[in-house]
Amino acid sequence: MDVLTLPGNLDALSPIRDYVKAAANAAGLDHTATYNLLLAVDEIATNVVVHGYEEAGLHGDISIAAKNDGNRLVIELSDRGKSYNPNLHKGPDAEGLSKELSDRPIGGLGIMLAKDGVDDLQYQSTELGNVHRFVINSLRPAEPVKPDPTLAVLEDHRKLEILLKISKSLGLEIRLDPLLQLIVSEVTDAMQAERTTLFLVDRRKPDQLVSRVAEGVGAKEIRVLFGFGIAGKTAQIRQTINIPDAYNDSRFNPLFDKTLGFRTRSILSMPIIDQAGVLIGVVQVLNKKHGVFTKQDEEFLEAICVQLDIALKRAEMVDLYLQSQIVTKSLELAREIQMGLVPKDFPALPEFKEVDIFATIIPTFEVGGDLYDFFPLDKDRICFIIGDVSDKGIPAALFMAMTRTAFKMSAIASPDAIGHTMGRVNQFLCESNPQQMFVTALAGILDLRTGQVEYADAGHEPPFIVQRSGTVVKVNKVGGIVLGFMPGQEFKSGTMQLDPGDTLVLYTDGVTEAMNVDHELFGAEAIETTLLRTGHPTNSEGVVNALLKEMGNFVGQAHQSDDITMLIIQYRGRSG
Amino acid sequence: MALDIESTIDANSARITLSGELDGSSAPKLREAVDKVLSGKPAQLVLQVEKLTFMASAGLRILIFAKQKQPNLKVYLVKPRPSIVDTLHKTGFYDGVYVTDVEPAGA
Repeated sequence: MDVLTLPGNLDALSPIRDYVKAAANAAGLDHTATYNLLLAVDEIATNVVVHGYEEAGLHGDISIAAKNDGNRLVIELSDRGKSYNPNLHKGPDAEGLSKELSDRPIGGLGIMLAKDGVDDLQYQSTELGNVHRFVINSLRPAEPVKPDPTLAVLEDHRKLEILLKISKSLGLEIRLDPLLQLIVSEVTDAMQAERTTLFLVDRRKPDQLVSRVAEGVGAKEIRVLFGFGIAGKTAQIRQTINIPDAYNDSRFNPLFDKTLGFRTRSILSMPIIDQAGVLIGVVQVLNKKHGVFTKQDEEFLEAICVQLDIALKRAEMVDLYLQSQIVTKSLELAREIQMGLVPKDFPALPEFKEVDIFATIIPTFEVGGDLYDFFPLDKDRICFIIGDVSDKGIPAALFMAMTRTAFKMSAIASPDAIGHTMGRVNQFLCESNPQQMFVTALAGILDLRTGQVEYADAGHEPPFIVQRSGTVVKVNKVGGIVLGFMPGQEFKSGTMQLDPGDTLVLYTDGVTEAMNVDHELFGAEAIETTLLRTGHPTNSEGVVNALLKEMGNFVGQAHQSDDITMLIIQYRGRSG
Repeated sequence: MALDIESTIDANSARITLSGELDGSSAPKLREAVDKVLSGKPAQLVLQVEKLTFMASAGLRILIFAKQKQPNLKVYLVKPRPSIVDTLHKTGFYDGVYVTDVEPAGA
């Protein structure tokens, strides 16, 4: 410490004591040792002023300096007054100390207290003046203050209460995003810190941490690769990192602070590892409000992390469940939309007495790739189509919707030969088919006046005609390649004749390929057999019901493996 | 830090409340105050020293001064700090005064 020089009068005593107090504190002396040193210096300084200067009629300064080499503290008190060696002074003896106060000599007490207060009191007098040296040997760092056991119990109690509170509030929150917010604010509170960042291991990129919430700085997403930054290091080594001073630690990257406008001081970064030993994420607590994070803080955060693991696990499960619920709901909507694309009201086309049409579509999943449609081109002609996209589920459903719409628009816009319509639909599908899907289809135009059907085939199952007599005829296909496969493909038109009472049975391969538990197929023969046994049906719906019943008997407990669609057109002829 | 002195006197008891630091520079002021309260010849001198943070030997000398002035005087020190009690022990003054945590009633 710098030398303090003061005029040698009694007013110097108080600043001298302040000086000694500061030196004693810096040396880590305890309260008693500090007081004793203070008293010693004060007594000698008083003697110097009173006896060395005032009584001797002298004037001068008194200086004080402190030297601390880590092992001992030496206070040097210098003056230029009359020499006064305390060590030559006898001080009061045992007899004197036991005398009645009223019988005591005044004086000598101060020197006694001075010698008593230090390990060594040295005196030196030269022409340059007098120096008193007060020596305190064997400096030790101040004894660590023993924690008050009562306080420790109170602290344990506080922590237990916080843990219970966290466990309770985390238990109440089952949605993931609000839970993450809650964790961050609860941990910040519990750890008496300024901020908490929660990183979770990215499920899709398991070598990355992602922070979905960062309290206080808005909802910025922070991504960290394993091994980078404090959080990434924590994830990599799966061990707690406790940094008392971030800017003096090479692992710390100040870029985050710059980005987020924050000043990091202390960091406690801990991996969250579940019971199975799998790393869930990293919790990072920043800037403890008082001091740095201690071993006790680490233990406390560890206890909190157990709660986090449980809460996160549960919330993630709930989240996955809710997402699947959302998907299910979306699929239900998609099914509704898809079913809205095909005519579902029967009896259909009631104004056309010449036909009785019935159809059914049973997708394997919520949505499917089969399609059918029928609509009048004019008062004498009805156009129809049945088709099957080469896939199932949502992609097939989208392609089915495209096909159905393209067909209907094309057929209505230019109601020429059905082969030309098929050609235009093929061209359209080929141009918008990144998934290389294709559709088998059979489409036709029934002339209500004659019962003649002009049809085109795109690789579809051959239909049957149940004649009025009960005879079943398999229609000869004109041949044609599937839709969406080869651009510029031409489709031939063929004709077939329906007499009044004849029923045209169209179906997709979900019917022929219906499978039983022994993996046997229902087959086209079974359709033919069923149609033969049923004989002349009274209406179209009866055909569908008979086939479905027979298929049901055949398939038994086996799961449906493909979309099943049937379109039945019974021609009744034009009366009158 | 300076020494603050407050004195009250009644029939049997002189009371002086001290706060701050009692050293060579402030002792004369206390000596004057003691001198003044003892002029009424009270049976006891009660020194309230709870807020006295430092006492040099100059303070002890005032105790001697008081006892010399009035040998039958009972001197009470109320609530002295441990470091001051320590000084009293070292110098043998502890036996010459009444150290107490409760202010004595007027005798």
